[in-house]
Amino acid sequence: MKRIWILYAQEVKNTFHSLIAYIILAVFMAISSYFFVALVSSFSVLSQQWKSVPNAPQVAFNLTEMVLSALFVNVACLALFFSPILTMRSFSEEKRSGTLELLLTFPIRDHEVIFAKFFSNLTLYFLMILPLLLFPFLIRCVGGYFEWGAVLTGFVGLILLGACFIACGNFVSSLTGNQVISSILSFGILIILWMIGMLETFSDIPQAHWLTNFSIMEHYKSLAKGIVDLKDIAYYVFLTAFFLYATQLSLESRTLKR
Amino acid sequence: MTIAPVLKVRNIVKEFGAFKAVSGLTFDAGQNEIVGLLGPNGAGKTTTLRMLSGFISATQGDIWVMGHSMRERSLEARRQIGYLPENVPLYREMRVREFLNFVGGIRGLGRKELAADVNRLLDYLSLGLVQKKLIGTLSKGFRQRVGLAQAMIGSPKLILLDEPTSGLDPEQTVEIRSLIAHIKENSCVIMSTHLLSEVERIADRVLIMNDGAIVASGSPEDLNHRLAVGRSFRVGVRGNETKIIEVLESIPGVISVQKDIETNDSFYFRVQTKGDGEVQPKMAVKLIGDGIELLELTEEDVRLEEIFLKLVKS
Repeated sequence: MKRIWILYAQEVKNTFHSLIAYIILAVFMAISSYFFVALVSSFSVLSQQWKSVPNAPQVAFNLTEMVLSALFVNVACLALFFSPILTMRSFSEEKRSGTLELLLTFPIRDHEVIFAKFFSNLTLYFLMILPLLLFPFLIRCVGGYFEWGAVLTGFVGLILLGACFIACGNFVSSLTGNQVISSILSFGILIILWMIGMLETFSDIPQAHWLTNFSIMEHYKSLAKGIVDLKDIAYYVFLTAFFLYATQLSLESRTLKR
Repeated sequence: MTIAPVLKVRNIVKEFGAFKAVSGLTFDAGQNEIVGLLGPNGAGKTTTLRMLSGFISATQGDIWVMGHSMRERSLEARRQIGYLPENVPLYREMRVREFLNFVGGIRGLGRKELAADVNRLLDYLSLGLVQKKLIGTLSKGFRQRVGLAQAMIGSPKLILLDEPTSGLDPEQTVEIRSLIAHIKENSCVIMSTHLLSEVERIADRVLIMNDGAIVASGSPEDLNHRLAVGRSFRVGVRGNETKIIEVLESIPGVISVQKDIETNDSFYFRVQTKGDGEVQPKMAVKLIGDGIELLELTEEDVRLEEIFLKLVKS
């Protein structure tokens, strides 16, 4: 545990030595803020328009669902684009520079290295999405009402989703010494995992509905609305564990290569 | 009572698919010993060091470091090892002291022990002035010292160095060699190199590798003594070249005559002879008797280089 902590701390420190971390945090926050402003504006316009309709039935416009849940879904898609950039250095840079050989000969187990790198990337991811919690506060400040439970479920779901993205990125990064290839490949895998959820819409193959169960985004939809379903949580935990194990196998395969 | 070796290697084999990189290596290495792994490129030196360091596992056989099996107790074995891979890979974005603290921490040193060890190494390897600098900004010589420092932190019993002087200028090479010679005071050092001069200067024992196997082993002097056949002379003469060659070749015991240097009016030859002791005076008498002016007649050491080439070619 101590070894994981030492490597984790060093990884986090190294991440913040580089300008990339700050750029990622700033750009992610800027785009998320844009989404938030756009959703609040559209909510405001819609509710005003509804009120101006003569004899319109009384409808309670739900801020949680129309703004915050929608924001989380949009941010989840955004995170899918950002995660490969967070993880592309993990093993690729170590492979390129040769430090992986040094690291793996220290008295540390392969899975400890994998966990340390996974949690350090997840820390950066967490810092990236943490400012999202400011938005509910802003809504509260202007007198809006929302359900905290739903917001927190959406946020925790975003962490679970991010863990999958990070584990996938780390795995791909362990396959190549080229950071660009690593980010493109992991982006490709995540896009495929996202797109299989859309098969039902675009294709009439009989397996389309069944394949939707494997979509990385489909499982987030209900979490974003604040609905906790063990099936969704189990999916993310399983997928994360799968990619972490694949990373372990990838590291172990070094013994087969010249 | 027999002292257990620091490193025990038994019949290790490494196969990459159909290619056998290392075949059946067996040797021991003890405390205060520098063992040089010598061989041409592709001989299996780096693969051997990678197996010894635990980076890759052997297809067959096992390695014991201070009695810990690399196969069964890899972590304990690796605790006893300091390794400097070829090309000195280091975390360039880290500062020297920060890097050594990190390595010491992973090696499980306590806070006080770590601080003392880092200070000792910074002092020993003259890294004090650059301890706060980024590793990426250091010269190659300093990076090599940092590489050695990380391998020495925690005083491991076995230090593995893969081509430790590769790419250094002559001055840096001499410095690093002298540091390696001192490291053995507390550890066993296994270093790979393709430079014969390097093992001749600092190794106590040489393992000559070719095609993944050890083709000869012993001290540099021992190898010279055991494997050298015949003797080699440097002969400086003045006169007609063709006649000189004819005379030299006619001397009983002379195997070959090779022209080494030619100046305006004199020639220097390298003459290989059989091992009998009387060939040198015979050569002098014959040359002078035939009216050839003799400028020099000295016996050369049969260098490890020749033994090495002979072994590798055979």
